[in-house]
Amino acid sequence: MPGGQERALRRRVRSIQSTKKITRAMELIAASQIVRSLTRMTANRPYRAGMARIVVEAAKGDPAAAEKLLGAPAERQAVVVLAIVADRGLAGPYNASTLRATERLVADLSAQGISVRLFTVGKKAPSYFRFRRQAVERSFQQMSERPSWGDARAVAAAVTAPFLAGDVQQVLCVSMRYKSAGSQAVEVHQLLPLPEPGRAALPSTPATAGTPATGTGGVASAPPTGAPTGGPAVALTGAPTGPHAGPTPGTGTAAHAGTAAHAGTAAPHAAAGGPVSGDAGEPASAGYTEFEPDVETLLSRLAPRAVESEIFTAMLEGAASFFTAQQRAMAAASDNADELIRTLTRVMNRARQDAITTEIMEIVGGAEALRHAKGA
Amino acid sequence: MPDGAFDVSVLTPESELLSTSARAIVLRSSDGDLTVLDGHTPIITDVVPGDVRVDRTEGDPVHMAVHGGYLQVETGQGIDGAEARSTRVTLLAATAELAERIDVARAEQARAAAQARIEELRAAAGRAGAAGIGAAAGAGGEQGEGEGAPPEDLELAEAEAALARAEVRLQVAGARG
Repeated sequence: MPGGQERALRRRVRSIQSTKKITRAMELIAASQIVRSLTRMTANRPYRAGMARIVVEAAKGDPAAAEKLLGAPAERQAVVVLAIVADRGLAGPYNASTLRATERLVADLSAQGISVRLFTVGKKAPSYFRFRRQAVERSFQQMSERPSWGDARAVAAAVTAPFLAGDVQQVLCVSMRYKSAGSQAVEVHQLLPLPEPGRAALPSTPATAGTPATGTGGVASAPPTGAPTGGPAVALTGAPTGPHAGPTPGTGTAAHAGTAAHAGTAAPHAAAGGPVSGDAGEPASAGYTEFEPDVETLLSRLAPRAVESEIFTAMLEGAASFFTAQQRAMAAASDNADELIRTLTRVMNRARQDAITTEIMEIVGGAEALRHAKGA
Repeated sequence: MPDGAFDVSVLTPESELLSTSARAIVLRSSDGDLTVLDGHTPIITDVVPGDVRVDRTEGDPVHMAVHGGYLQVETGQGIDGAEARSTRVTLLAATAELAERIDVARAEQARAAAQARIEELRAAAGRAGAAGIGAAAGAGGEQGEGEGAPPEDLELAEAEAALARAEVRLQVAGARG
């Protein structure tokens, strides 16, 4: 029947048009949420930098007391891994790449004979790991898009408890770091023991903590994502495997997690051995800071706060990355819909034209036949 | 910067609550009351929940309700890029609010709710304790019941924290008035 194909095409075009409306709306919503997430990220930055500064100072004040809570663990039997993803999908590779990196990390740790306790944030995580038969100890939901400080606290409390109880020797976090609008990358960073932002690995260290100058504040600031987390991210495999054996399969993930550049910095970090020794007290205004209460007490109370701050930052950056990825994915979907509509409309018009031509031919053919019949 | 003045910033994870030039900041640490003036020796201390007063160089003193946090005083050369010896004070608090922004009615409501919750939980805990003893005497196999306790303790602790917060808010709001 003529027109049938045309009608089918028209229906498809209409359906794509309505899909496009949805993807376009999602794109716009994501775009507006990016701005909000970035504002919150910026607002959190001074607090995080201040927290890092205090930890550095405290570590310098009493290196012996700090040893337990800082640096890379010498030996790991059990490790907590925290993965931060989103509740929703439709955000391009955001969830998948974070989850894949987590899976790799878990596999890697297991291969080294380290038992892993997995914690997750975001609804997308438990289903992913259930399918892969990886037990999730606890999962948090309904907080990944607009993380509140309270959310971060709840997560921090859950992952800190096993460490403080001595059940695990390390707490790692896998999340998407927001480096810039155009670049987000999955990163593994160490939450506990507290990483040492003032460690030799960082080029900004010579400035020592006394002078962490200007605005957002020194050590942890300039690239607030990459630098401080880079060192420990590598330490996770670099340090523990280094002393015992040579390079193990473990080093592979380090390359994934950090970058090649970070791998370079791992060497001095690991080589320095014991946390915060020797060069820690470069003369500056620092050195003679007083502590109230004593460093050990202070640090043991401060550590959970510092972890909260790190998790909050990771969640905020995760949210910003999520919306960025979603906006990009939805923009691509809308563009694709445009193209589909264009192609299908063209096919549809041709089909209509064909139908009309056929009809005319039939009429003309019919008329001709009648004329011939009359004439005969 | 005028003599005797120094920079104070009060930071929370969500925002920079206050950033000003001040003559003094008065607060309480776990070791007692503390007043920081210009040139104070570098110190890192905890801050117990309560009122924090910042005497600004210009304008009225600012009161804040700070629900626990940490204070860092840095004194030395080269702080903030300044050549001269200077002081910088950073107060980090997970939760803090300016006195003028405290909603007294809401704080009172929160206090009442927290008190009610605490009483409720204590009563429930008392009942559960009695029931636990009875059950232990009867069957002795009711070990699973014990597992219910920690979350309740947690809730109680949370309610108590909420009560403490509400009281700090009311106290600070009152101090200003």
